[in-house]
This record gives sequence, C-alpha cells and structure tokens, in this order.
Amino acid sequence: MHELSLISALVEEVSRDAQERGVSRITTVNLAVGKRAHALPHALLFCFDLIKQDTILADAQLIIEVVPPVFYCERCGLNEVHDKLWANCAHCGLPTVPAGGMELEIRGYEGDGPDARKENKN
Amino acid sequence: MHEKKIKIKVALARDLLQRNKILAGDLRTRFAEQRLAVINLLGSPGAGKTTLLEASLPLLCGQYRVGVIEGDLYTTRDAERLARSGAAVIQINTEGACHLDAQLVGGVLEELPELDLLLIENVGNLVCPVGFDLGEDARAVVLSISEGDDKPEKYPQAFQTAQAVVLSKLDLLPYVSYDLPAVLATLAHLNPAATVMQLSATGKSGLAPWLEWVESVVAKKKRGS
Repeated sequence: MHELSLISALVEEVSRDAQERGVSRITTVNLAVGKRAHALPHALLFCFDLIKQDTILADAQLIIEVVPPVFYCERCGLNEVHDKLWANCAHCGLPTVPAGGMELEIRGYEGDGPDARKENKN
Repeated sequence: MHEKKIKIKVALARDLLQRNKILAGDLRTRFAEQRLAVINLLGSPGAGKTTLLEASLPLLCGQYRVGVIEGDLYTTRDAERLARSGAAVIQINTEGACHLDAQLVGGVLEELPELDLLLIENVGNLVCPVGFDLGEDARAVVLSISEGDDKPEKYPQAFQTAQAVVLSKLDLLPYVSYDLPAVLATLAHLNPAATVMQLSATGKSGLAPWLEWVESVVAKKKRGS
C-alpha cells in the first residue's frame, strides 16, 4: 500500500510545475499506471481525493489510463501484449522480456492558465 | 471586472518515482567512491531475512567491515538481535510505511563507520520495496518454504528484479506440501540470470553458496566494476 506516497509525489510534482508556469487552478491530471506497477487505480483515486485538498489541485479530477503488460522479443524485435507472467515469442519460440506495464507516469494536466488580464489591458 | 482565464494543457511525461531514482543515483555514486558493496534484502514478513543475517554476520564480520540497515515499521527487535554479531547496525523505523526509500537510507549513512559491505534489510513486503531503488549493487529475495510454492508467480516483480533468490527454511520441506521443482522452474522462467540458493539458516546448512555470493558482490565492488 504505497499509493499514498505515489499520490503525494504526483501532487507535489504537478503543483511545482503549475506554479512555474503560472497556472492558478488545475482541472484534470492524466496518469498512466501499468497493470504490473503494483499500484491499484481505485486506491490511487481514493488517495488523490485526500491529498489534493487545500492545494492547487483541489478541483482537479484524476484520469488514470491502465497500460497493459507488453513483452518484447529481442530476436524478432516484436512486442506482444498479454496477461501471462511470461511467454515465449509466438514467432521464434525464444523467451520474451517484460517491456511495458510497469509505468507510473504523469502524462500531463489541464488547468486555467496565467491570469489573462496582463495580456488584455483594457 | 471578470477575470478571463486561458485554458492551458501541459504534457509532462514524468515518472512518479523519479525523485527516488535521482536520490538512489546519488547514493550509488557515493557507494562507488567508497567502494562499498550494498545488498538490498527483500522478503515477506517471517521469510527469515533477519535469521539469515544472524547466521551470516559472525562469518562475514571475520572478513569484512560490515554494516546493517534494518528497516522495520515500529520496533527495534531485529536491530537488537543483529547488534550482538559485531556489525554496525542502524535501525530505520518507517512508522507504518511499507518500504525503505533512497531518502531514508541516505539519512542514516552518516551514522555508519567506514565499511566494506552494507546489508539493507528492507521492510517485510514483496510488493512495495520493489519499485524503490536504494542505490544497491544487488538485490536478494528471501523466500521461505513455509510461505508456499505459489509466491514467485504471485509476486513476479520482486523475483524479476533480483540478482539472487534464497530459498530459506529448507529443513521444513519434509513437513509441508511444497513443490520445489515447480518453484525452481518458475524462478528460471521469471529470471534466468538470478542465482538461486537453498539453505536453512537455523540448521546452518547450505550457507556456503550464500556467503560466496555475498563475497562475489564485495569482490566485484572492490575491483571497481
């Protein structure tokens, strides 16, 4: 159960980036979570609602994209997507290596940009 | 006057564990400068991590200057058990957190004397410690016979990221239902490069391959490779 520390890192990282860009309010955050990343989407959402309060993300919605496990064959250069623990390459029969599904990546966020008054003085 | 806000869309592509990875990189540089070999010991609660250290430390302390970092949620029980061995033991209480991270480890290094080998016993857990690099040279997973033979399949990543797997409590094999050949086959599939060892730390049998593996990690670090 380290979803809380993962979400704390997310809120910290996005807040810092948003402040640098002069973003005043964040509306959505996109997070990619690999199916094998040892993090449960529903626990991440629960923790997000707790941690975001009193931050620039207070009104934000967390959108999680679950990334399926990918296996790569070094010989054929082909990727295969499946839910098995391991599998041999469907083409050459050699063992494949895990190449995806471990992601924990902030893809981006949306919000209200810098105060428009500066740009439209009238 | 009504404020007019501009909508902004930011693409980040930033790893959530990035901060730990950077700190672990700093630790790795520090350990390289000191030629200090570091082993991160993982395993479930009760797998026998502390017992393995208890059996190994008297032998390792004869050869090297050894330090131990003990990760535990609340108690100092394990550190007390190990302090008798002559190793420099530091306790980190994570106060409920399920894993050690690079920041916690970095925070106690100043308290350790000059060493050849640092053994880090992580919090008993096969899930959370996996994603947190501690700047170690090698990761060893302790898996006891009494945990059941399905654990490598249930927690594949712990085994996939390890350089060594220690099957512990082998003396219990006659008393439990455990398919040892199946476990060895699963481990070979999950991580063909890992060194797999079988031992009983309380029975003091099978310790030699484990000690040799630890020695190989130290020797490699001393050579600076």
